[in-house]
Amino acid sequence: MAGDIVSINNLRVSFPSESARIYPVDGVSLKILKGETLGLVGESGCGKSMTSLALMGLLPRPLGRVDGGEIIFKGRNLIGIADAEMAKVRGRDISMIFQDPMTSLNPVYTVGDQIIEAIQAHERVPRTEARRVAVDMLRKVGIPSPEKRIGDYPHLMSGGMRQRVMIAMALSLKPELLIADEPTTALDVTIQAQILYLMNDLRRDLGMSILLITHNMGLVAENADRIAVMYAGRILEEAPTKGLFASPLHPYSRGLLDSIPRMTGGGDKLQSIPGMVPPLNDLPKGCKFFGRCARSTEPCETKEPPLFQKGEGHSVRCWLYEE
Amino acid sequence: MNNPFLRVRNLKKYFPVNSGIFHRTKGFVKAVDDVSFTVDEGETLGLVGESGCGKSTTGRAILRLTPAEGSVAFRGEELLSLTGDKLRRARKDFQMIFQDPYASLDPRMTVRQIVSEPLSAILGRGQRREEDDKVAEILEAVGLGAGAMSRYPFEFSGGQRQRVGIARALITRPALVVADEPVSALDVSVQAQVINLLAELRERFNLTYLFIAHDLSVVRHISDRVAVMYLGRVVELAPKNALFDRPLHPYTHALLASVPEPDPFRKKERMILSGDVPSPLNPPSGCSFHPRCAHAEAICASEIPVLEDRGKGHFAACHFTRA
Repeated sequence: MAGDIVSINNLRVSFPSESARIYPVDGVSLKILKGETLGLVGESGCGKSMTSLALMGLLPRPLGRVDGGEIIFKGRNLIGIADAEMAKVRGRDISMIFQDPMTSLNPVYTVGDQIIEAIQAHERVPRTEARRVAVDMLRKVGIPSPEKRIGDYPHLMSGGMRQRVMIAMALSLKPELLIADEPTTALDVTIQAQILYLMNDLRRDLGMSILLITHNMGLVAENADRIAVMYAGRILEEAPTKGLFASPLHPYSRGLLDSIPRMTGGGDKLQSIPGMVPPLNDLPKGCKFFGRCARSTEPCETKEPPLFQKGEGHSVRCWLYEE
Repeated sequence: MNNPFLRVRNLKKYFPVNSGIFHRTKGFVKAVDDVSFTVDEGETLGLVGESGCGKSTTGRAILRLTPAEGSVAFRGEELLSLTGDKLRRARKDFQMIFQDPYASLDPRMTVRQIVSEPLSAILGRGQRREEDDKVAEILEAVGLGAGAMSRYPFEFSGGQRQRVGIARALITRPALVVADEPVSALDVSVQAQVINLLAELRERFNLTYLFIAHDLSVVRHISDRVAVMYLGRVVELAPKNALFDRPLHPYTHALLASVPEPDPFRKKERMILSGDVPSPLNPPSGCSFHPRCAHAEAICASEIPVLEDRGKGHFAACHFTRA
């Protein structure tokens, strides 16, 4: 379809566990349109990071593997293509910013060397030209006097600066899709605001798409065009941002939104979701939210619901919405 | 005026920075620099700020977990000069809840041992039967049930472990509890359960909280008054609604504007701070916020502003803003 930059269909990722294989991602389908930001939200262990690693071809080997489904990027299925091919896609077409800027940079090279290396790995350009691009990018991400800082080692920089370097590196090849996996979780809120402002700016300038993975509902509310809510390896609800916040349909989405304290109010008892996320080797048989759901009915225990379409671009995996 | 429940005056904690082969002291990190505030009985004072602002060190210094200068008076009694048995007996009244429920519980101890340890450490060995009754009672109160006694920490989820940590803090029936980021390691749906529990226990055991957190929405939810710290100093302190709705200090203003709100319909004012938090090793002269402040003038670089009451208990340390 026109407009998609990537379309994930029925993706399954498995890992071995003591008894049987477990499926951190189980039948996930997602589309990301050109120029849009898709927010992927969920609690820890819901499979959101595994989805992005599969997309990057970076599942930890040999344990993790894709067990089914396809990832169509610009008309080509990325599942099963040769490593050398994938290496070309990575960085040039799809780039990723990881959660932890402290551990994602190599401490024994200067930040400049690392960005230049990334550029030269994908484009046949002379070093001086790569360096010019790197300085330019560092300036764009708001690093003061980039000509000087390009020679710094990562340990000389603060967390916010390092995350900017990561972003500069990810963007120096002008990828069409940027995967940002909890890009600001390790940073303070004033720095977080700077980084997101910057990412949105660059998205507009470069026309790229962003997959924003986070557990923070505030971040997706302010930055995403559409949101997918993930739980136990599945997408439970997908909707345009305003639609999801105005009328969350799935009891889990509603529970998530009700359980966050608001800056505007306060004092009353928070609504909370009872229980906890079930372990992947002991999931409920039917709906994966069964057991924590206050509105569960008879089929929920035994039969897993499919996604039901409810209005424009709004779908929900819950029997309550069966027509 | 009679003695306030907790009065902290001119609290200072400087960490020496040593270098060279003789480890000569080259300077000090002023982690806590002249902090004063009071907390009333039954009140919850939220202490917020970005990483490195000194909020945790303040909490630890009050509980005598790290030596510090200044004065901490608890019901009129000076804590910082207590030693030996007197200190141990006083500790019964003030306890701490830690951030990380994975690191703060000894994996080789049963829940019974973990929770009863403060009893024997502070009150001496008691009758085992009596201790068991107390442990069972407090485990019921935190929602775990006496059945948890013989189990080990690994058998529990993050939220349940935090309940064990809370039970351990409350077993001596303290009057003051310092909670240092008690919910920031937890998932959103579980976070709400623990916040509700803390609020419920406050009523039930007539607790006073010093609630340290970086998450402003959580702080607004649970606190009566809030103090904002920046580079070791309190820059603003006010009843929570006044602080959140009518912040006086430019830093508080920027901090509040940076928090992403889970409400895509609300257009909020964009206010992006430039630059990073300066190093506490070499803080800016005068008002330490002046290099990042939009309203800074000459006086801000030379004179440290005093934390003054601007009416109705709304304190701010700024040369310019007036209530």
